Amino acid sequence: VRQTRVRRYHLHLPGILYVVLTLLVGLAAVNRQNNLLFWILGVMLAGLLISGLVSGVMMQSLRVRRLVTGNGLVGEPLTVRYEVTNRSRLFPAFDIHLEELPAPGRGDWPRFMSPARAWVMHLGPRETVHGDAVFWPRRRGEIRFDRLRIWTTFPFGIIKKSITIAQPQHTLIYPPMYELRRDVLSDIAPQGLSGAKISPYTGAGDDYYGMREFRPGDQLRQIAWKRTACLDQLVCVERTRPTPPRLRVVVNLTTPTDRLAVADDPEHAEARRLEERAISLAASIVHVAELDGFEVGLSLPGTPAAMLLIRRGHWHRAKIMAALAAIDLDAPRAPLGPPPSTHGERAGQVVIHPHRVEPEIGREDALHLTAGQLGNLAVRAIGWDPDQAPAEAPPRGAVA
Amino acid sequence: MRLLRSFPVLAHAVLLLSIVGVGVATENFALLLVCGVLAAMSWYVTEGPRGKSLPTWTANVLVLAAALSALVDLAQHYHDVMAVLARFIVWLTLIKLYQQKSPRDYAQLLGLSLLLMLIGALLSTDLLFAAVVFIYAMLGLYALLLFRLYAAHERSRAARLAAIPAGYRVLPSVQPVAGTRTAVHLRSLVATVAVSGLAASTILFLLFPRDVGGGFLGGFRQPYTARTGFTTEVDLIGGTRITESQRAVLHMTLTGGRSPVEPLLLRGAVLDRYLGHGRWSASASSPDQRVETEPPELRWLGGAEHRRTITQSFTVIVQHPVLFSVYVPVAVSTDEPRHLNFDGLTQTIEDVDPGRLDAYRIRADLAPDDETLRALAGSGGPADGAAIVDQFRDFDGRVADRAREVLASRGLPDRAPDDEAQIWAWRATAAAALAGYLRATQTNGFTYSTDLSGVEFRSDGSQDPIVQFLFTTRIGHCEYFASALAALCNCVGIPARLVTGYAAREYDPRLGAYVIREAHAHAWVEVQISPWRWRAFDPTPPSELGALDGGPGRSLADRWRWLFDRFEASWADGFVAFDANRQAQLMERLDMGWAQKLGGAWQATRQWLAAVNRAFYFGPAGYIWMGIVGLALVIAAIALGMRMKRAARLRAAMHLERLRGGAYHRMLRQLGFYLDMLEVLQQSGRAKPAWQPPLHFAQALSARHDPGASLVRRLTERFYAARYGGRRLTRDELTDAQALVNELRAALR
Repeated sequence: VRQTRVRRYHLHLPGILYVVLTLLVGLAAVNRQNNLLFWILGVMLAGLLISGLVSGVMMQSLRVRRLVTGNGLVGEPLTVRYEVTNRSRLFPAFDIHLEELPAPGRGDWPRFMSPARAWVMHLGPRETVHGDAVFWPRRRGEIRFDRLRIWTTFPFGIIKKSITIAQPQHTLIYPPMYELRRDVLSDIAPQGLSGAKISPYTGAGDDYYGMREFRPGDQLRQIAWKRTACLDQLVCVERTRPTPPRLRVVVNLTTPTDRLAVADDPEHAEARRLEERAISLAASIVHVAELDGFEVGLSLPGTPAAMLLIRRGHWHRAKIMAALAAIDLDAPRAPLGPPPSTHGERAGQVVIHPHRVEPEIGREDALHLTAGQLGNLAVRAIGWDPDQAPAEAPPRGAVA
Repeated sequence: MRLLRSFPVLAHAVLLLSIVGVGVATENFALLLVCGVLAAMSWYVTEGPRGKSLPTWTANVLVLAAALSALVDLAQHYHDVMAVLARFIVWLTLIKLYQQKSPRDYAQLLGLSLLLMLIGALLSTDLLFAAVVFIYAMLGLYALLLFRLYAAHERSRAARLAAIPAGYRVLPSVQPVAGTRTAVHLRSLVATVAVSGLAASTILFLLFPRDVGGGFLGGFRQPYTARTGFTTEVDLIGGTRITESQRAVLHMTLTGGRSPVEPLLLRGAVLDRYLGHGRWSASASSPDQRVETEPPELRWLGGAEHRRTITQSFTVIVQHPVLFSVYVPVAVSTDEPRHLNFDGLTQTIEDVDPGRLDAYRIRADLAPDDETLRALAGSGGPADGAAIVDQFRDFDGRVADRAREVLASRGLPDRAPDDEAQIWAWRATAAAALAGYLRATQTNGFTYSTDLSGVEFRSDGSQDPIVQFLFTTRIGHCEYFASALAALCNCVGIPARLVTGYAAREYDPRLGAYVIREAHAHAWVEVQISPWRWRAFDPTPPSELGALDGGPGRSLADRWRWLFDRFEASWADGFVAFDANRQAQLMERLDMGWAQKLGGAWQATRQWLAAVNRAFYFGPAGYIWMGIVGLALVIAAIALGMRMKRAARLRAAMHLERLRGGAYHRMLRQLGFYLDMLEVLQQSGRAKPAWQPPLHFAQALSARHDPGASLVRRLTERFYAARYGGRRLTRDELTDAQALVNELRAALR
């Protein structure tokens, strides 16, 4: 992708002090007609000149690319890596800082996470290194990286030189997740952890399913030798495919935030917090279920998000987490419609409500949980607990 | 990282150097010793195996104490604010050195060290201090660049660790990201910056306008300047120290006649204009006689050969346009033909030709008669002594009173006799009495010293330095004594002028010659004792002058001192004394040098072209043909250069290093299109990474649905066929490939 580069020189405080000091030395030299002072003045002016030249040459030959990162998770550090290349044949580069600039109009960017910088100490001629910036996401959602700024004050710290490069990219921050109690899944899944053993498809399970003729590629151990001897042709045993336990997670978002009847909450902050915790609980259940071998599906009634089928695997889990991360709680909620087709599927169902249980959502045998129960179900947060950190303020000691 | 860990040591070294520098600049040995030792110890105390730092409260109390001490110091030395400030900053630096140091503290310490060196520069221009400044600049540059990395690393590490939320146990990496050979690259950068900085600062130093705005802020006082050797002007305030440089300037042998009495006063310049405020210069009104020498013959300046003459043969070691001689030169010869200016009234000779004058001979008449002097003066009359006396008509009356007192004390009339015949005799006697007054240092309280850096001469013009010397300071070197004698004489109507030159008093029997060194530079007085004759009087105490002698009685330290003195002399002459005149001369010389070189080159080229034209019988149109051929050669050279550059790029990009002979040249001819393609892609921001094979690169572009992907793919296939498939691309295929490159350029534009 062609990089749009905007180059700027900034005179910051140390630079202003340096210029003032140079002027004072100049005045002293002229006043005293002292040749040593004239030479020092020459050195200081040469320093100014060389500072601009060295950093200009250094920055001109730098190329930076933000590498595609995985999605983040509230409570875990999000490491953004940058590939920095020095294309100069002769000059090394030193003291390169890289920082993200939020897109214009996306003023809420800092709410997601504190700013962080990557720092590259040295880059030889024709070398490429990877620098990284560690962000600490505070809330779920979609983060749009827009522009990337590289800057340096090397060699003398007099002038700050920066190049801003437009590299739009986005990533998702998954909701915070918790390790849940071990018995949560057994309460949720009606078939228990072993799941349904028989399925209409052949597979690599342990139970007998049927017999068929030998096909090239079949393994020798699949051959039913007795039957083969009887029929005088090679016959193989077919086995059943094991079916893991299945679970559908439903997050009830049909009620708008302002209609959640939370007491003493005129600003609806508590209601919003309950909704976030409901999403968090759903993510935690999905996470735990995945770990225990469940196939998981997700429904988000009240939102325009499409229902996700019950599947398993890394990519499916990522899709569920992305759907949870992308929920826009400020968007208008859809009213409750007719019972969806998922009512008939053979799977356990857990319905998570932000505030109060609404039994009409979900099947009759569904397990209903509320966001408030997260405290009882959770053992500990995965990573650091965002509830223990201030909601909007940056984490302790973050770089301003 | 080892490189970053070395910074604190380096920072301590820089700070120690700045303390040494300010100690040298203020010539405060106690400060240098005590604070230097404390600064050196601070490293072991704070960073050593049992490193301990000062608690903050203790440091604050010490700073307060230092501030109070500085106030008391200021009250006692209110006239020397800079030195007081320097001492205060030194103590501040020491206190901070004994504290725990963050990058911010190191930044403050480096700033304090810079301030110390600047204050030092305000106080001194000594060679020793300049050497410290130079070392400080080099070491400080490295320390500064290292500090930038050290501070950035510390800040980055601290920010990264501080951002970790409470309760999170896995720490992210805090190691600095760096390429290979960081230390080597940093040192190379420091060397490059140092060299270019030195060059740039030297150019700026030479170009800064001088003699503009001096003292506009008030309190203008020359720093402690050092001067050495012979000068054609005297400025009693400008040079506050005469360095005793033992650098040899001339060797002189004497032949013929009787040996004159030592010390031999070699006259260089006669200063008969007193400009006031202690400044003497030569009169510009003297008519000069142009003399052209024809070696090895002596060129007579006027008059006839006399039996009382001696011949002085000089070997020049340090070049100077002035030719020296004892009173009075009558003939001159040089080692090669040269043009000289001879001033018949002052009997001084100046070399006006550029280039080295390595040796010259001067025949001098030790006791010239009026006829000889009249012949030397040429058409001009005798020197106008009354004009010199007139310059002192409004001089401070105390000087005339003092002269009369001295004359009266010696029983001499304090005014010129009315009888014209007695006037001349009275002048000689009175001048001798006044010189004797000044030379009697035991009784009159005058002190001879070459170091006047501790003496305050008022430079505001309210009092003449000669008057200050006679009545207040009573300390000075030969220029002060000579100026005082000239003033005393002129104030009572005796025409007296200043003469500068050398006092030759060191005879080396191994060389069989007098060795004249820079320390032998001297000033004395000549008094008019007849219309044509001037007699030399030296008011400088002879015992003091002998003490400066660089003869065999020198101590061991003196024997090595010449080394330092030589540098100091060069420093004082080339750097400290660099002023507007020297700047103008330098510019003129540079300008002339370039003009001469360019002119010479142009002349040589023209001659060569003419010779070629004649050799080949081209006739008048030959120059046109030669011009065409020259132009074609230039174009061919440019084309060859471009071709070689392209071949080098092809060799690097296509990895052709291992190919030899025909295969190599075939690849150079056939793979040019691929290099063009890479350049087009690079210009459009799609540079191929060096590690990526061409096919993978083409596939990557296709995967990104790049608009040029299909063209790149086709060109890549053709490249593979030629480079690895062993196919020779036909001319049509190469033309087609080039067309594809052009199409790609248009598509990506």
